[in-house]
Amino acid sequence: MKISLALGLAVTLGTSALMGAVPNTAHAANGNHSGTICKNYNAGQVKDIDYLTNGTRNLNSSSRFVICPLVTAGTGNANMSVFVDGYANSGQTITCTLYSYDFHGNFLGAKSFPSALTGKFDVYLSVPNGTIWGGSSVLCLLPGSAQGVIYDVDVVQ
Amino acid sequence: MNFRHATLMAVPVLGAVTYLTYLQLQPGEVTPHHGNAVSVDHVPTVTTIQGGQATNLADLAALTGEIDALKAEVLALRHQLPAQSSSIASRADRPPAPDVRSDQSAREEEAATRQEEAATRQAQMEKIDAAFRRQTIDQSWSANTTSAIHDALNSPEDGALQAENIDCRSSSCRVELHDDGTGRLSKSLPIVALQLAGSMPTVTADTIPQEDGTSNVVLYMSRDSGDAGPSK
Repeated sequence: MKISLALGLAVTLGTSALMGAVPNTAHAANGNHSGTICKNYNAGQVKDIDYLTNGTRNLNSSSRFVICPLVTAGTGNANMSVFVDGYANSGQTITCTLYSYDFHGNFLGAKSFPSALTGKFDVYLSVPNGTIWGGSSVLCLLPGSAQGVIYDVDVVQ
Repeated sequence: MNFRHATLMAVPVLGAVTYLTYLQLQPGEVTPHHGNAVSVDHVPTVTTIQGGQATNLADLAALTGEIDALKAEVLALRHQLPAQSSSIASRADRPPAPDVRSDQSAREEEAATRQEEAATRQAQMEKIDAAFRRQTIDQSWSANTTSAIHDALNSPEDGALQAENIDCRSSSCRVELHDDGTGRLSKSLPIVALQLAGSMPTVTADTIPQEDGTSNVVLYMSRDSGDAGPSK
């Protein structure tokens, strides 16, 4: 009987301690988007864009724009922030811009790579969000002939 | 009395009790072949005594009383069941009543949040505009950047964009564009911004509605790349 009481007390105290240790502030989870969500920006170039299991590339010999839609949880954060990850072969470059819009479709702001990048990159971009109901996307210019890949766009919330 | 005798006595008694129970639990009315409805309440209780053994009539009477009480209870439950079933079904089929008050308060809360956001945004744009107007003019940078903006506005495949005004100072430019609502600006502007990314990676935009239903978009383009941000 005493053992049961002691055990019950220990379980109760342990549970309370665990609950007290968990922060009560809500944090939205990060949203990781595979680069395969990126698609042709211009309608006539749909057949130029090719997909791998780990990203998106451009098969046309000329460079092509791809647009990557971003899904967020609408946390009311002051900024929309992402990491854009990809790779461009030697002598080729990729540049991307993050765009933010309000729920009326009004352009709020944009942030671009500081320069066009070669090799593997992992670039942080952040723009003022303005609203929890708006939308965001990333526009990238991919080199031709499958010389570059967008691997993922990871939203930081 | 040995075990064999006790068993012989118990068998008929149990048989009688079972038969009585069976009779009492029959439906309220039975229809005999003659077509006359007969209530089981009026069926005489039959006590079968086999083997000449005496049966405790007092116990049987008590059992009969208990069975009558149980029968009445079962009949009462039978009458209650259909009413309860229909009540449960109708409640299950009915969609939950909308919480009008909470729905309305949610809409009001959302509208208030949007107004607050718009006010905050307006205050931010006023700060950005004031900071831009405080800049001195770097003639060289201003001229070169203005030229680069013109080139970028002329490059979109969907047709050149015409700026209402381009004003470059020392580290940023204010570019005013007219949006006719056809979507041409929406389609081309991101490409212009991306083309200018090398020299002005940061853009903040303000949309000013016009009386004719169109709007002007004011871009504050800065060569400041801002915070490098955290690492993963």
